[in-house]
Amino acid sequence: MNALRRLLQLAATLFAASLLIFLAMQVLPGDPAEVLLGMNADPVAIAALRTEMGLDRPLPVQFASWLGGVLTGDFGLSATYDVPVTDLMLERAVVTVPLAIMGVALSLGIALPVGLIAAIRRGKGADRAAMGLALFGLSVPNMWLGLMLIYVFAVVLGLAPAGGFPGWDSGVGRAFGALIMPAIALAVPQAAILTRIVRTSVVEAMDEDYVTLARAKGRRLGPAVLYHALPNAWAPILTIVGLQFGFLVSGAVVIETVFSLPGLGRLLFQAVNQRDLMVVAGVVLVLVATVVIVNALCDGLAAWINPRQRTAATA
Amino acid sequence: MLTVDALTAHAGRTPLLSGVSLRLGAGERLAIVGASGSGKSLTARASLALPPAGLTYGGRVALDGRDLLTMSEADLAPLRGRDIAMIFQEPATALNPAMRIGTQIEEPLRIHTDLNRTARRERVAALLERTGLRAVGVGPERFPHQLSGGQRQRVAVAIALALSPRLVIADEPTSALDSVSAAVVLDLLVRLTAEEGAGLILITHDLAVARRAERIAVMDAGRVVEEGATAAFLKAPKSEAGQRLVAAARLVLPPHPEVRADAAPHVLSAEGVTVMRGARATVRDASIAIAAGERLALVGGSGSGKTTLMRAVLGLLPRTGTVSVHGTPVVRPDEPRLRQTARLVFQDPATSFNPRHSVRRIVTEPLYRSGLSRREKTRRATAALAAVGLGEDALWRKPHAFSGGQRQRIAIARALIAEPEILVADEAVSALDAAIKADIVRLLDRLTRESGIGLVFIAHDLGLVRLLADRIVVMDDGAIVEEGDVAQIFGSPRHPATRALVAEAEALA
Repeated sequence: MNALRRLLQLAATLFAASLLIFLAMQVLPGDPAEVLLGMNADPVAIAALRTEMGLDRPLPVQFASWLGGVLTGDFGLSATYDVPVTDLMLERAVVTVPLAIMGVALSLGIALPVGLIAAIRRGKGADRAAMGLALFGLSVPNMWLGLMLIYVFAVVLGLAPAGGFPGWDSGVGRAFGALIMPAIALAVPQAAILTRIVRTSVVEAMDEDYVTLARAKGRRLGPAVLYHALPNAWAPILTIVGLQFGFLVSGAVVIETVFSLPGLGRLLFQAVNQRDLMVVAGVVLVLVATVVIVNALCDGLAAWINPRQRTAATA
Repeated sequence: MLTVDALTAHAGRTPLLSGVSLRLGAGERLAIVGASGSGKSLTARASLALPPAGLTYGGRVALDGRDLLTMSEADLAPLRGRDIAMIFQEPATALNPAMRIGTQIEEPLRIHTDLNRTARRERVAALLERTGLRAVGVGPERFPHQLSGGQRQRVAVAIALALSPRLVIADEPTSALDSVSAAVVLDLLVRLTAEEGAGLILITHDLAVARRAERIAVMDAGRVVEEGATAAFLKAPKSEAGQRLVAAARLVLPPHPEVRADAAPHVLSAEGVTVMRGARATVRDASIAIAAGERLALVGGSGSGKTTLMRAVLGLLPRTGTVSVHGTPVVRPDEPRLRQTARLVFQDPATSFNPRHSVRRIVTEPLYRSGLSRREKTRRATAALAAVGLGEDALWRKPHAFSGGQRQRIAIARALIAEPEILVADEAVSALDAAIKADIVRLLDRLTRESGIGLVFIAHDLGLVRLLADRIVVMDDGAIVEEGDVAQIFGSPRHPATRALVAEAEALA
C-alpha cells in the first residue's frame, strides 16, 4: 500500500520532469533542423527536414512520440554526431556511473567513522579536529581541489595520470586509477557535509535513555553508540546521502572537465555549446531520473531500517 | 554493600547535590523520595557512576569498599549490569526502538558471560516467563513499539535482572504507567529482587510506591533531610519536606454539594460518538453528559479512548454522533459556542505553551477575535491569573520562568479566561509531583466550588478520582462500560475493567 503510493509518486515526478525538459527544449533558441543543416541552409530544405523530423506536428504529439521513444530506450538522434543519443550516453555512462558510485562510497567511507568518532569524543580534541577539517572540506571548491590533486599527485609526484580515461579495455586497474583522483575531488566536500550530519544525528540519539541503559548494562561508550545510537541515526544520514547524489552528478560536469574524462557531464557540456538539443534533453532526463530514483531508494531504505515503519507496512 | 559518602554533583558551578550520605546492606530495600529537582535521580545515577551529560560528581560512592567515582570506564563496565542494574522512568525511551526486545534482554549476557547462543536464548526465555511477558504472548521477536508501556517496563525489569545483580536501582519505575500496569510492574520488581536477594533502591515521588521499601530517605534541595524506617516515617515525618509529602498523600477536601446529574438540559452532552482511526474505531458509540457544576471523572487504562472521546466531543477530532450544548445540537465542529462552553487543560503544560510568548499573550489567546480592547484583555488576564493564585507580575514573564505547578496554573487560567462552563482537564496533574499535585487539586476544587464551573477530568489515579469526582465514567477499549457515583463504582464495581481498576487502587492505598 505504502510502497505502491511511493512508486506512483515516483512515476508522477519523472513524468513531470520529462514534460518540463521537453517544454524547455521548445523555448530554447536553436531549431534542430537549422542546426543540422547549418545557418546558411535553404529555407525550403529546412522546412522539408522539419517535416521529416516531425517538428511541424502539434506539441502534444511531439511530446508523446519523444516520451514513447524514451520509454523504449530511444532518445532520438544527435544533431552534431548524427548517431543515436542512446549510444552516446551508454558510451559515456561507463565513466560517470563508476565515478558517482566511488564518490558516494568515499563520502560515506570518510563521513561515517569520522562523524562517529566526533560524536563519541564530543567536545574533546578529536571532535574539534574533525569539525575543523569538515569546515575546511566544506569551504574548498571541488574543482580547485581537483587541480591541486593533479598538481601534487600527477605533476610533482607522478603517481597518477593528470587526466583522461584509458577506457575499461585497457585494464580495470588503469581505469580505476584514472577515476580515483576525480572521485576524491568529488567526495571531499560531500564527506564534509555528511560528517556533520552523522555527528549531529548520532549525538542526538546518544542522549536517549536507551544509550544510557546500554551503558548501565555494562557497554562502554563506543560500543553503546555503535549498537544503539547509530541504528537510530540512519534516517537523516540516508536522506542526505540521497540528496548528495544529485550534487555528485552535477559536480561531475565540472570535475569531468577538470580531469578531461569522457563522461556524461562532459557530453552535456559539449551538447549545450553545440545546441545539440536531443542530447541535452536525453542527458538531463537521465540525470534527473537517476537522482529521483536514488532518493526514493534512500527514503525506502530509511523506512525499512525503522522497525516501526517496516512492521506497519507488512501488517 | 553500597556506601554513599558526602556525594556532591555540579553542573558547571551550580551545586545540585551537597553532601548526600546513604548506606544500603545486601538485599535491603531503600526508597529515596522527594519533590522533582530534589536530586533523587542524580543520587541514583551516581550509584552507577553514570552522570548525565555536563555533570560532575564528587565525594565517594563505594560498592564493597571500591570507590566507583574514581574508577576508569574499563573497570566500571564489568560492574554495570552484572553487579548493579538500572531501570529508567520512561519505558517509551529506555528501550532501543530499532532492536528486538529479546536482543536487548540478551545484551547483558553477551557482555558479561561467555554463554553460547542457545544458553543465552534459554535465559531470555526464562526471563520473559518470570516477568509474565510470555503469559501475555510477548516473545523475544517483538519490537518495543509493539508493546504497551507496562509491558515495556517489564522488559526493562527483565534486562535489569538478567544477571541476578546485587543491586537494582529503579528511577521512578512506575510513574509513567497507568495505575493497573504500575501495580503489576511494582509487584514484579519487588518480588523478583527479593527472590534474587538483590538490594533495591526505589526513586519515587509517590509514597504509595515508597511504602514498599523498608527504609525511606527524604531528599530536598540536594540533601538527605530525613532517613528512617518506612512505617515510622509515614506515621510521623520529622522534616518539613517529609511532612509536606505525607500531607499531600493524605489530601482531604471538604464535601462537594450534591449536583443533580440528571438535570436536563445538560450543559454539554454527546450521543453515539464514534471516532475512527484508519479502519479501527478508537471510540465506539460513546454517550456522555455533563450537568452544570458537576465534577465528572473519566477513567480507564491507557489506550481506552478517554482522551480521544473528549477531544472528539470538543470538535478537535473528526467524529460521528451528536454533540449538544444546552440541549441544542452543534452542527459544525468548530462552532464558537462549543469553544465558549468547554475548554481543555492538557497534561503537559510545558509543551502546550509557545515558549517565546509572554504569559499575558498565552493566557489571552482564547480572546483572539473577541473584539475586546487590549486593556480589557489585560484586565481579564489579571483576573484569571488571580483566580489560579498567580500575581500580576506573572503577566510579562515567559513560561520558562515558572515551575511545573505554576505552568499548570497558567494553563488553567488560559482555560478560565473565556469564562467556560466546563473545564476539561486531561491528566492535568499526572505530570506533577505529589505536593504540587495536591495544590492543583485544591485549586480545581475551589474553582468548581466558587464559580460553579463543571469539571471533566481524565485520570488514571483513582485516589484522585475518589477525592474529587461526583460521578465516574469508566472506559475500556473505546467504549463506555460503566457509569455511576463514587460510592457505586468503588463499592460495587460491575464491569471487569472497573473491578481491575478499583482492585489496583485499593492495593496501592
